[in-house]
Amino acid sequence: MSFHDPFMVCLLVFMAVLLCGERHVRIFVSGLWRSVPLALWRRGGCHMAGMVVAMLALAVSHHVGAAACLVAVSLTLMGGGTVFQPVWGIPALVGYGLLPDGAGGVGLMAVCLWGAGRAGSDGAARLVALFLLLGLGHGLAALHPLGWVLAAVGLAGVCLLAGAWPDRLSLYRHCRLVRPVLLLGIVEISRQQGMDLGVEGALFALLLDLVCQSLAVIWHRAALLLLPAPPLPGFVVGWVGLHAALGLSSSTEGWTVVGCLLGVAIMGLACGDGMVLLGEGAAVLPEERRRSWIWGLFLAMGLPSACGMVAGWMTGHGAGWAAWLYGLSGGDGSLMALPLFWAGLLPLWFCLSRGRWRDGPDAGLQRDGGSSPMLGSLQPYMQAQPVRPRGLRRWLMRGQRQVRSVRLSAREILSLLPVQEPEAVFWLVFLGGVLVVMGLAQ
Amino acid sequence: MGMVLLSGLRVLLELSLQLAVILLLLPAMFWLGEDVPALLVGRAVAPLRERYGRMAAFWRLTLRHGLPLEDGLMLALGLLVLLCLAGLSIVMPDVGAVMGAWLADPLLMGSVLLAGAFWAVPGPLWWMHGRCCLVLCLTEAFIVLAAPGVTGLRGVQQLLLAAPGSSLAGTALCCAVALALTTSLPDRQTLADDMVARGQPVGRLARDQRQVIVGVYHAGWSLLLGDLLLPVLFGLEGPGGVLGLSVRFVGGSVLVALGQMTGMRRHGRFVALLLGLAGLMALAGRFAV
Repeated sequence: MSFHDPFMVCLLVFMAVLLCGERHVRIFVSGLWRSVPLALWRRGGCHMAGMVVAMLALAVSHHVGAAACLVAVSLTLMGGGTVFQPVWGIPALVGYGLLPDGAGGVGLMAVCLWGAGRAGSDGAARLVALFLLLGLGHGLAALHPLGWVLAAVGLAGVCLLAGAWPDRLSLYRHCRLVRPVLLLGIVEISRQQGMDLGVEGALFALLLDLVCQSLAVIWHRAALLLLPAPPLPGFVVGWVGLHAALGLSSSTEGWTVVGCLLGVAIMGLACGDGMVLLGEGAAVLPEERRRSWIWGLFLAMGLPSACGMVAGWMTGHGAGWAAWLYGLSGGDGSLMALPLFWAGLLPLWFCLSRGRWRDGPDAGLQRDGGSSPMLGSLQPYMQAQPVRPRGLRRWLMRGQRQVRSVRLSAREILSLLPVQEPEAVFWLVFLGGVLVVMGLAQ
Repeated sequence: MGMVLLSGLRVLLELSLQLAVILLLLPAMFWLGEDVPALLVGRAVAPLRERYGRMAAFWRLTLRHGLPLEDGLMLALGLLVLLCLAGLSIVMPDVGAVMGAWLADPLLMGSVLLAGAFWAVPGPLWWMHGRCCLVLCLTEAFIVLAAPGVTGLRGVQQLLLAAPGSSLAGTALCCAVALALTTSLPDRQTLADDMVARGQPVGRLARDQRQVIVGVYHAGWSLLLGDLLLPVLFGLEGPGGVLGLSVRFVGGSVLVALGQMTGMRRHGRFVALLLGLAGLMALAGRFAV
């Protein structure tokens, strides 16, 4: 239990940050001395109460029955009464109270996934359900990691099939739910197999994912940090998760195929998440101001290293925190020097768009509408003579004629064979050649 | 203190030398990627020195007036990708080794290229980008399976030098062909259509700059394919590195041109076949050891 308590503390800290920064809670608190619409105020109160109850549930997780009760109350409060509709939720939570580390954990997972799916576009409710799931379900994950992963995938599929989802975006929102659950599964599998590097990498990806999701709830523009585009943290989550899963598959017995599937699934979930973000962020992006850009850049640069240090401290490798300043280690001994990439990118960017920093980000395209002196400098190459290499042309024409005749005769030959597509034959022959070369090399 | 300053200076010298070599080779890369296929089809094209003149005009204008912020970021990303994938080491071998091992990761570099291309031309190509991204993930997975614990293309090269003829070469080759068949970078026509469709009041200059940037992405993609096709030539030291860079680039652009000319991009089955073959080779190499 030397590990699970720091993890729980981390979850509690995330929850406290969420409680301090969430928009509805701020509206509720300011409504104590100002006048706000009553519906908004009530909703903020429900959110605040739900989060406090969820924190209590995480804090009393040793006493399982109380935790199950608090989970029910918290989910009911967060969703405004609409989340906890299914009747099967009550026996599932009772089952969790009786058998917390066995089949009851699956019941808790079903309740939390269902509640998170019902939360729709309300990010805070979804995130609280996810925290409850991760914090209370790690007993099951530590005992039966493979069962945990399979149950998560299966239950997410069932939730998707059972619910009548209004739009396609809610399908993609499940990506963001399933990814941390799979990452926790990888952490526990690596721990069972005794791979310290894998534990550290997967835990790093998990923490980074949770931090970015919490930030996205607090500050809407930070949602763009989760885009799976490379220098941003969303890509780091996918890359490190992929490498942790692959390290599992390449250095332990029996996990080869499962590890490969898990890795590709995590990266695919990151890409699916990007679809949601592009759909939602397209409305936010044009009204970005310069200060938001700068804050976003700082967050994107600093978050991975900070999360890496925390992950290293939690797994007991706290001495090597300086290594996170220049490289992010994947789970299998590989290293991605993303901070060095940023260090190369920023001076190059600054040098290339020198003189444009004072106008806003959009001012560039309008400014060079009519630029006649620049056109003058473009003129010499617009009037260049094209090359017409006669000799080369002649050779090419002859070669084309040869190719055409060869192709005609080849088609006659191929029409005798039971083959419909000549391109298929070309590629099969190509592959055969590759195999022959490989065989010769060995 | 003096030692640190000296090594910092040497790192700067190394990086600027690499950048200079790449900037010198860039017009030739453009010529090879765009004009030579047109020449082979039989059209008349501008000679190579016009490419150099055009690129010199571009850099002069860029350095005098500066690019807009978005375009500057895109171009910086493209140049960094070229710098990492080139695998040169001219004065200090350590810098080249660091960039080749810790940054020249196929998934990282390919995703930078895809993200930059998506930013330049958003919209119609997104599912092709998704397919390409899946192929990139599988490439990374197979390479890690075939060579566990290896970082980046530099590690692949060293492993190949230590154990020639391993299944790693076949895996990388199949992945390169699969990537060439799923190339989703926008071509010039798509870029022009997109800029017209978005109705920006762009000048001729902005359009030319955007085309140069997309051309840099194309060069980076060809170089990535070449690195996967011939990983043995990656990261040679000294002048041999420049030769290896040219050979790899020519190999990659031949692959791209073959993929476009044979019209194989419509057939998803071949990509699946190649990926399956790569996976089989990787697993065979892993279980044979």
